[in-house]
Amino acid sequence: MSKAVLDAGPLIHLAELKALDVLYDFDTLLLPETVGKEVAKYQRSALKYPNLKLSQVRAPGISTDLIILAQAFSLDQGEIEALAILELYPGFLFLTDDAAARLAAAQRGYSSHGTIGLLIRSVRVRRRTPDSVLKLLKDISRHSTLHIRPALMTEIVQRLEKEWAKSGD
Amino acid sequence: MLNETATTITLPPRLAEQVKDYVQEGWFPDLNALIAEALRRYLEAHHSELTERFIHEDVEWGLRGDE
Repeated sequence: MSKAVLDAGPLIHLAELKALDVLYDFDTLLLPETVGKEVAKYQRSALKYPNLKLSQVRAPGISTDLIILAQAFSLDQGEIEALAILELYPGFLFLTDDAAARLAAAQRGYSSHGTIGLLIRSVRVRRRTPDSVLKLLKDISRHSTLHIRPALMTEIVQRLEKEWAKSGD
Repeated sequence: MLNETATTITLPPRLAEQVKDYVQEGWFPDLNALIAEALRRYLEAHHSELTERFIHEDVEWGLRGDE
């Protein structure tokens, strides 16, 4: 079973795409207090989605080196709290769509993934079909606030179509 | 104003309200400062090369990760 600390991006984007079910098989999803407030502001329904094992948690004290890292990467408060929680749970995944937050997480040795990875993963864990994920990816810029260069998305979709055709998924 | 460029933006009503609140509460001296800061943060946080690298990593993880 997978465990993760969440940033606002994936929750908001998956809610916009009506695809929060891709998080069902995570048995622990920790939501830093500030991230919870951000999600409540922009996509409150995501916090009430049935069957998500979401727990809002207060971050521990922020260490000096984390403060320095946060300044260097211009992280916001939610991202800082998420990284502080990851210090307690270093084996958890960090789910974020923010490139700077992912870079900071990598610097601390944490694995991070975003909305695109979660959607593709849902086929691997047999939560969604390839067709439903390909449809979501193709429509992502129309139905969500996740911004991806169209040519890059086309490249990804073509790659996935080949991969999934090959594996018979 | 020699080093500044004027531009016009249109915001969705809800976002415009939030922006106005931030300025009225004194977080920013004016709308221009808020928009400039938001843009600066966006550009800093979204270096395209980095973003694309992470997206490619996500595709690999999505397909073959074992978390």
